[in-house]
Amino acid sequence: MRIRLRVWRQRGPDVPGKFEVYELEDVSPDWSFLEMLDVLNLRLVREGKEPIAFESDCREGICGTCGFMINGRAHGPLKGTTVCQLHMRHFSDGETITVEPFRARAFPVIRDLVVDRSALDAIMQEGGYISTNVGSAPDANSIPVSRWAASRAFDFATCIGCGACVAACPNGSASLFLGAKVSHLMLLPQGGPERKRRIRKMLIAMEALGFGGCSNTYACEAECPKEISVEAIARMYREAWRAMFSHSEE
Amino acid sequence: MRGPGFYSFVVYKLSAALTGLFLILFLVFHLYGNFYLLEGPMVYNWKARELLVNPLIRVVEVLLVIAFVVHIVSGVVLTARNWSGRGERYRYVFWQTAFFKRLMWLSGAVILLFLVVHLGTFTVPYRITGEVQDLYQAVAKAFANPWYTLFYVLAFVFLGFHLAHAWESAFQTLGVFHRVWTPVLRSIGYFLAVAIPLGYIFLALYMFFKANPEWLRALPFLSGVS
Amino acid sequence: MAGAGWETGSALWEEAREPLTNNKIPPGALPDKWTHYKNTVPLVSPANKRKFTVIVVGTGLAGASAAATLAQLGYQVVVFTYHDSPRRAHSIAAQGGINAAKNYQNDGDSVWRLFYDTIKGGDFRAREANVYRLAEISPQIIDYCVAIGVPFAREYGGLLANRSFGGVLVQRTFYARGQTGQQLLLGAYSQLMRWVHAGQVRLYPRHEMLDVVMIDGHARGVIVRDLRTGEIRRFAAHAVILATGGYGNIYFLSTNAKMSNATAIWRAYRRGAYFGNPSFVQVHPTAIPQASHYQSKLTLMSESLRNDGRIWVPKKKGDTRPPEEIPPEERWYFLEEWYPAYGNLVPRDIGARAIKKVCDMGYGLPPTGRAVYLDLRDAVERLGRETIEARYGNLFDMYERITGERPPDVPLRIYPAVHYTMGGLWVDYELMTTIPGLYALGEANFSDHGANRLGASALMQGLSDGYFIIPYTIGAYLSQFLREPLPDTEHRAFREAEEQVRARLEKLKSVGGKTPPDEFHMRLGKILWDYVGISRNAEGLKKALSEIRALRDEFWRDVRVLGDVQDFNQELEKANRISDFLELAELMTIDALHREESCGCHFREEYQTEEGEPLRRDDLFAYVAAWEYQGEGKPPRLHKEPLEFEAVKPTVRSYK
Repeated sequence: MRIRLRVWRQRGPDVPGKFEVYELEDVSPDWSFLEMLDVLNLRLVREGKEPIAFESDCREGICGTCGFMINGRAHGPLKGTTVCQLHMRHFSDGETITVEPFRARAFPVIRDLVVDRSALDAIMQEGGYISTNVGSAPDANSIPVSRWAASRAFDFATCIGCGACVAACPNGSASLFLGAKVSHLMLLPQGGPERKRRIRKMLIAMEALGFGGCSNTYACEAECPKEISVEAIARMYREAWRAMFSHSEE
Repeated sequence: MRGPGFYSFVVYKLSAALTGLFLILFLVFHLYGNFYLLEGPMVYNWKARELLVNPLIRVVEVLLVIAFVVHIVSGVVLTARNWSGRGERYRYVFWQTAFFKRLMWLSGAVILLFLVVHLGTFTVPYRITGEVQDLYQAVAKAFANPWYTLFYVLAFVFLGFHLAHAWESAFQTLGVFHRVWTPVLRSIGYFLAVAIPLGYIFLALYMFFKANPEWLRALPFLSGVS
Repeated sequence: MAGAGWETGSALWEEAREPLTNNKIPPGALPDKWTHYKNTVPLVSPANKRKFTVIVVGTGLAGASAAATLAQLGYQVVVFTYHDSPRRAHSIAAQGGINAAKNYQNDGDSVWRLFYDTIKGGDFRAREANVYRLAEISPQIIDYCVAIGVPFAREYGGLLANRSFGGVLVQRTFYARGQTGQQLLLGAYSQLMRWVHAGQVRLYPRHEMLDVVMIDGHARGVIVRDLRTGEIRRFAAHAVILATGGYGNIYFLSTNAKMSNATAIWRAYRRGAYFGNPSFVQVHPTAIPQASHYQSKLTLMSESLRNDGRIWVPKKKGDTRPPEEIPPEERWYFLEEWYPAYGNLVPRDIGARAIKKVCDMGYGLPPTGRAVYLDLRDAVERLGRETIEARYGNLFDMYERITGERPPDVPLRIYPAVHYTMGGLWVDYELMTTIPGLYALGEANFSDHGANRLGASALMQGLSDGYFIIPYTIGAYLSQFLREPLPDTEHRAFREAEEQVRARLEKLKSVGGKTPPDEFHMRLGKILWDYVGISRNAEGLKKALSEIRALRDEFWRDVRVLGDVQDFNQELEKANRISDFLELAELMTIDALHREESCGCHFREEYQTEEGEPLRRDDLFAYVAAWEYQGEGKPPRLHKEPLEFEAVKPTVRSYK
């Protein structure tokens, strides 16, 4: 296959970036998108040109390290797929492909397609956990959890923290990310005792970190590589109302 | 972490959703009232007067003003927040979701403009200054103007877009999400988004053609019909 | 740095006279050892814990759980990860599950049986006391993970579900669909986040550890490079924990993540930590084969597919007919033929070897000749499509995404791939390396899996090391230093270590050759796969040794590293890791060469029975090979830690 790549090149957060165009011959349809970039980078290094910076790690769609925009879509055109699992057979011969970093106010560009997503960790630090110490846990079977609740909790817990939802959101909001974590924990009895405190702190943090709010466009759901439902966001609101109209301070 | 306040965007969202649902209710009642136009000036004016003297309407009016103000302020604040969350824009834009979902600010702005005109044309002269006594006459006069009618129709097209997203979005914001009922709600929303503006537009056109029967005859497929 | 000075013909290694016996295994009967240890280990008071700083490198299962638990105890914890976030480590990719001796299924499981299965699975090349402790702790791991919100699969009654896994006779594996590793890692990550928020952990993402700093023979800090800016920084501590994972990525093509590397443990080795059994590398039988001339990694297809799948090749060599046109009588179900008792469910090492063998015999699938079929069509007929889709649908999706074909209508093509390294830094019972104050946890150490790891036990080991072992054992060391202040990072040792790190990076940059670092990595991987892979022989290993040395020389002559040391520079990161791989490869080869027996993953062709089964030589090789660095260009020194089996008797593993 022949591919024409327009790739966003940017030295740093405060340096203006621009598109560079690369022509690739002999692209194998069996390559993943990242393998195509690997091969291009090998060529660039041999030519003495700075290779394109992008991040990836597991390359099997679970670690959440990779991710950028392909033709305006987070992780590219294929549903439920990260870029590392997106193969070139889904593009046509001679196609021009535009590659841009994930953009959002909370995700400053570090280099080319590498962005800083540490704001997601900062949200998690505010309450994306159950405060139980090692050593104090009761027997695992002492609290029954319905099969349904466990399965739904899993659906939300499957978030890989890649940031595609933020990148796809017209508002750069992390609502799906936050909602998924809150939903995962609220569905389990173990997550109950801290739920009000959790939602308050996480929501406040999300805004303080520069993420926008949710306007329910559901672009996040459409681009989430784990296909997490916007039910997570409805649940996030529900948790918020619950915390808002309650006196108890946890 | 110190934030801009107690989950501000969620508070604004709730305000927008609750006031929005209330305003949809208002739209339905208003439309119901408008249909008296079909009954002619006598009935219409009488009904309007009846409404005006109803003490309950005072309460509703106050609520309406509050709802509009809260809804508009929430919308403006949310839009500003959301734009700032976007940061740098994409060079290659792919519209992942329907345009009206992303352009609530635009449809909202058009509706606001319409609201101002509408208040200036009917509400204030009739309700407050008393310049207008014969409301039916005022309506007939306004819609005799093709530009006014066009503006009115366009405004309600935008209202349709606004509603198409608003209904579903409001329930999502209220935390209502159900595998079976959410799709049903969504359908109801789309129905309302078409039905409500269609009702208003129908009456606008009715009044317009009533005042300008020659335009009706000009319509090629209607030529020959009286 | 290059291999100069190692003349061919000179000894490849030297042997220490004394056996390595200081493994700190507590006295008493096997089931009492850990209890005895806990009852007698010195404690550090809460007031004193505050005064100790512990560095944790790596945020996978072992690192994140260790950091969170030490923070909970009150230690000041400093955590480094080269990832952008502590939630990315490759623990996340584990699919199958985690073992625990809960006996919830009432099928006769016990701590003893889990212990026995693990030590037998490891082909009797692991330490009894460590493995028993692992089995003993396993139930607590499940309790804790449930308490912090890991959504394990459940039965309708609301209690936990189990399934069985490769080659064991009980159902003891807990799982969260096919993403158990992810859920466990996110659990540990959530606890880490909790302690970061509490201020008890200082977290440094995008920081790669490049050296251990030694003061008076103790590990007292690390040198790290901030990958975002390129700045080289010093951090001091009272103890350093390495939880940096395995080095399977040395083969370039492996199921490991792209960034997985050996740099942290290799630099520790160069500072004096012994390296245990470096050649013990697990090859997983069922990965998706390489599809094109350039490929960056291999993806695993869960072992569970072998429960219902049958593995075969066409009986005619080079048969190019599509699989559905090959009638059953023309298919060779070689595993079922060779191992009638276990059939397609033989352990990983045996399955991988058999697949390679038929491919080497010329029966591999065209066009590459390096693939066999894993066929679920019989199972579809027997159990119905719906059942098979329900069990494996997500794996079929994954297979389809990568290959463009969707099973079960077409058989999967599979081929073995490097998956896990049982070898790693040698540690004693306390998980401390031979450097005082330096610990190694999880896959980074060599400890519990012997010569072969059983499925669903890597997660168990990582979490047991982090949540339940290091919090106790580190106190034994720290309690000796109650009055010791945090070392000054202006200390000479810090300055020198930083200088060495900087010099090495500058040297990489200054080579100024023409070849990208990745190309050396690919070539190194090919050498190792060919000669230090699934089956090994002395001749091949010697050849590998000379090729590795030649490649390393070439690397230091011809590598091209663009960009600056003091900047974000992914090429430099890669080159630096590859330079360490090039050194480790040599040690792996020497270890494989010295172990003249076949055990677990380590199959030496010279040592097999007449039927082609591995021949273990317990009289000569029932020991852990712990290698000591002797300096640049000097042969490493071999220390043997004898493995004494008091509770179990080593038997020949038979799966026929």
